[in-house]
Amino acid sequence: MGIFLFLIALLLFCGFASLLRIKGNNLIGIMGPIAAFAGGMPTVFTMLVSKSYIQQSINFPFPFGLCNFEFDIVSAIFMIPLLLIGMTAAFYGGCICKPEHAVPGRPIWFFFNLLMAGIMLILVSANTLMFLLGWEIMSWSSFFLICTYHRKNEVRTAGIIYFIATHIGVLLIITAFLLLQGQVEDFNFSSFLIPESGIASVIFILALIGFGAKAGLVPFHVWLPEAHPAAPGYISAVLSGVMCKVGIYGIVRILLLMPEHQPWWGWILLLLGAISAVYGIILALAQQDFKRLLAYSTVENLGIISMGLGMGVLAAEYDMPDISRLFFVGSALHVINHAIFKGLLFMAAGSILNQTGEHDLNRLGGLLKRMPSTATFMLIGCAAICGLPPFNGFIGEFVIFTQGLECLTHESWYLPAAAVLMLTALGLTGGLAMVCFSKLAGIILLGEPRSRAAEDCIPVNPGLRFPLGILAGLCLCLGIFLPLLLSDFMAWKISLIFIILIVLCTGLYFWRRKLAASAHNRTGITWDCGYVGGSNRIQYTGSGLVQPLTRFFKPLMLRKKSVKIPSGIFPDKGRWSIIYDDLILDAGYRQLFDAIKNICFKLRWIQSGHLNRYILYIALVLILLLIWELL
Amino acid sequence: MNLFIVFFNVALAMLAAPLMWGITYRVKAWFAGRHGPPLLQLYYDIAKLMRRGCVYSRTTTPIFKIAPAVCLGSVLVALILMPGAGISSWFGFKGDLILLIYLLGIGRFFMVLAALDTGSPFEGMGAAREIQFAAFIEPSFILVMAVVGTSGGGLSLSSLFGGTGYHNIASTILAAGAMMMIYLVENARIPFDDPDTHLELTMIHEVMILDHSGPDLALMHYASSLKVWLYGMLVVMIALPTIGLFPFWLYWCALLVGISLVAVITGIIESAMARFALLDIPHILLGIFGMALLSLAFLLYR
Amino acid sequence: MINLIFAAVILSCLMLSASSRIKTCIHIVAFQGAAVSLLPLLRHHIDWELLILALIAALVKTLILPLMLFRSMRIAGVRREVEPLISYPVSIAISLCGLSFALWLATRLQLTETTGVSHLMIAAPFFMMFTGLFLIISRTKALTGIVGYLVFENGIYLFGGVLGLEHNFIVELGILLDVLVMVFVSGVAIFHINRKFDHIDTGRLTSLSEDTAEGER
Repeated sequence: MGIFLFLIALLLFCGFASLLRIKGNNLIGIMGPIAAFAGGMPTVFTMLVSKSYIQQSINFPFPFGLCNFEFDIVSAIFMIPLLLIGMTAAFYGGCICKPEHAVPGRPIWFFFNLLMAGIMLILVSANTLMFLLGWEIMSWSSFFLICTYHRKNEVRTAGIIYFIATHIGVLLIITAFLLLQGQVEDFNFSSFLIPESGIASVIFILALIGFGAKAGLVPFHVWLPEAHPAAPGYISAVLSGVMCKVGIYGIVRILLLMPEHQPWWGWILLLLGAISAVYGIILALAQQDFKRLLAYSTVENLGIISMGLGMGVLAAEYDMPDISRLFFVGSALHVINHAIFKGLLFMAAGSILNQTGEHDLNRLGGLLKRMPSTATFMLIGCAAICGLPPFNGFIGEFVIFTQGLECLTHESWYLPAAAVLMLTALGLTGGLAMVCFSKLAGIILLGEPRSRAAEDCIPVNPGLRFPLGILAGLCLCLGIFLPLLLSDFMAWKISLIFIILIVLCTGLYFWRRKLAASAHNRTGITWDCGYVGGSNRIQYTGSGLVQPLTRFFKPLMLRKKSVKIPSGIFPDKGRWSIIYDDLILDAGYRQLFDAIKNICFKLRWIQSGHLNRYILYIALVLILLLIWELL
Repeated sequence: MNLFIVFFNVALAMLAAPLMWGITYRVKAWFAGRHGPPLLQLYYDIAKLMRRGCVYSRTTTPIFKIAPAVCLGSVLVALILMPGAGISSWFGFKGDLILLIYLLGIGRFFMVLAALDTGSPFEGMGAAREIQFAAFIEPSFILVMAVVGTSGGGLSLSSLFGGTGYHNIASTILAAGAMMMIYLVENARIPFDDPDTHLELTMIHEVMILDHSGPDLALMHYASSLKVWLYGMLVVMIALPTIGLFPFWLYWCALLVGISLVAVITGIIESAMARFALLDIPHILLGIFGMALLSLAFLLYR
Repeated sequence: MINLIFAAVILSCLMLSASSRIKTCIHIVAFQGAAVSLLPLLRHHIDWELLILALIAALVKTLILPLMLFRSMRIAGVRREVEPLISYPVSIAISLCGLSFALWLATRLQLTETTGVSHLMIAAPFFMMFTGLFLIISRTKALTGIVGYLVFENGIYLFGGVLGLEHNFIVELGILLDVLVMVFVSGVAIFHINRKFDHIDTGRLTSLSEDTAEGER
């Protein structure tokens, strides 16, 4: 236990040290997360194996007082993504050294270490004040990390949107914790009493909105698609893989602090999760900016995790404790797995952006030939995120699916209905995820390059490929070995089947190669129906690939079409573009904030700028108070 | 014993699957008043292709060469999960229904990637439609599998042989109907796609493998015929769960006859109907989802 | 005698709210300053501290401050208050209302019995404060604002003197010093504002704000 407090201190030290103007300051900043990984992982593993529980109290001076710190299995599960992705992102960030794409300035490592320290503090604290302190550190440092390229207008806008969203969330979280504490003097979780059902529901709703905003549940997700593309690739990896999970951690903690759950809590989690999953993936497949696509995909995966949580709560309420436990296991597995493959995808996307400078995936293509390692790892990430065997994305969804099928035989009406809803939503997102990631992989990595930038790009330096390789290797290894950990049903056969799959496919590939080698092969161009003179732009674009689906789901998205038709006698340049934006942001939040702004504008006359008027206000108030007092 | 089932399933599939293609085409030819190709045509085609050389496009990457292996490998691994003659496969476990769906998914993923790899708009168009239909049909597939798992108990493919069969005739019929539609969609038959034309306007599956040649094309054809066999097997087992009660050798003959019957029905449908308008297909797929949902509802609330 | 002085003070406040010439205002303030600082001598029995305090206060309020104000007036080159925010007849009406308010306040405060002062003597300081505030609020020239501030401060001083509150020598001198410094600084500020903008019209200072459209409404 002390190891984590020591690691927090170490991270803070490394962070501050990286601000000094000495020669190796970047290196110190990078060492922080790597040391945290080295120091923290053994403890995490022993915790997971021994399934125990460590607690420690430290008496801080005023204003904190006696603070409890607790490290249990839930914390351990969320600690794994933090340490792993923190380390790989730090390694990646440290190796970026191409000057014009380099991240400017030292403060990056300062904020990075601060972010990790903040999240670690959240995960080990069992005290409201420490929790909120960690939360604030996390919010602030991530804001500054998002605004790394702050000279660009859209990055600043994205940062502001994130800032507002996270602080509205904090407000609700603080309220929830205060309500939970009630009349008790002590801020430690262990001294909280169980609140009565009315207050408990209010606390749950507040916590759900507050933590859900951080986790990215629809409709509180609007900051995610703005903020994650704005940040550099490896920062987005940490934000997406770790920070969003802290939102889920918060919800789980609140559920654990209020053991008497009500069924409708599970329903709300399930509904929000289902909507997030489906909405997230639909918007993801419509995006052209590939980092925005990955951000919406995060919304989708967090929806899946939330669905697992919701079903777990429901199953527990309807007296199926084993099934409930397995739902939580499935969600936990998905938490870890998603961090790994999303981290991989974001860092690969960062590499692609660095090398080509293109945000739009419709202007890329053929990168598998030009950046082989990065592209291969990205392909593995895409296969993993779709949940395809033999990678690690499969096991989390598998557990959730299977337990959902188990719930169908329950005697009441509600649980099977919930299970059907979950199965439908998960199935739909699985299918759509495959659309989305075949688009991502196929358009970016395969085919011919669609623009000069894609044609001319060169591979990144080896240091940047190494973290991607680690994560991709983990995708494969965890995919094969994680099922062995599930002792409940004969899931070890899954591992066996995966190995058979890999062996069979490899064998077939080599057999086919032998066959093809013995006959004579030729190379030629792709069959083009005899059409001479087509350019590379004649290929299918990403938007074209998903056009049937965007057409079907048009009401869910805000389509901004801009057309400039060439006019005049001689052919001129024309322009046609479609962008799919977030309906909830534009039709929901922007309208709400505009209405508030209009009301405030109407009250503008109060602040006229005339000094005399201000003094009049003061004098009037004083006189009124005087009269009131003397009446 | 369970291990022998695996061998029997895989051996029967590998031997008999290309026959179904022949049966379907013979039925279509009979409807059209022609003689039609020989029943063993696909075998001859595959053998011929194996001897040929390949033509590779310069655009393609190693993905293009890996894809046929993965497609075939994934369908074969899916086949080893299937039970037979009332006995579950040695590889079967609780929840293997889901694994089946995802194994077919990885085959599709690599086929789509190979299609996009060629950099041709034909393949891109086919890929776009293929993944669109797959996305819509996935929830239906899961619900049909839910029906299968729940009715027989045990949540595994072996519950396809639920002993005395389903409790509910309505549920069985709806599930079998939905499965048949899923079979038509996934294998890109009419009324969802026309496998005979080779233009980008009407084909989905055929256009995606347009650039494959030689052994690659042979593997792809073989893989798709195995897929037809697998889905046919599912249709037969859902429609007639009592087939599991048959004695051992009778079971395999009955299975062969059943799947051939499915191929004949496919031929009849292909001859009698035209392809649906492309823009209407998503709504029809939602209709299939409705069918599957009703099937599950009938099952759960007798 | 004391009542006469009070009446003169009240009338002078009325005149302040009615006059447009700044020189007149400064003269009136000087007179008020003299009256206010010398009044305590008449009320309580004389001892050395009180005498010295009264003399210093009289000096500052009657001579030094008006001289500084005249200097500022000359620098800024203003003579009259043109276009006040509230026209002069209305100003007088409001002043009279203020007088009645001050009288009401005096009756409500119920200090007559405790300290033996009449209602008029309580009302007068409040009326002075009110007038001072009113001058600050309703006049646009910065100089008149300073005059209003001085009147306000005189009112407070008068209130203290009337009630015979414990005069702490140092505190009183400190307050005087504050007033002195404040007027000095205002003089400097007026000089700078005038140099920069060529006027000392606070009404036009709103053009500094961003949305001039709102400010000029």
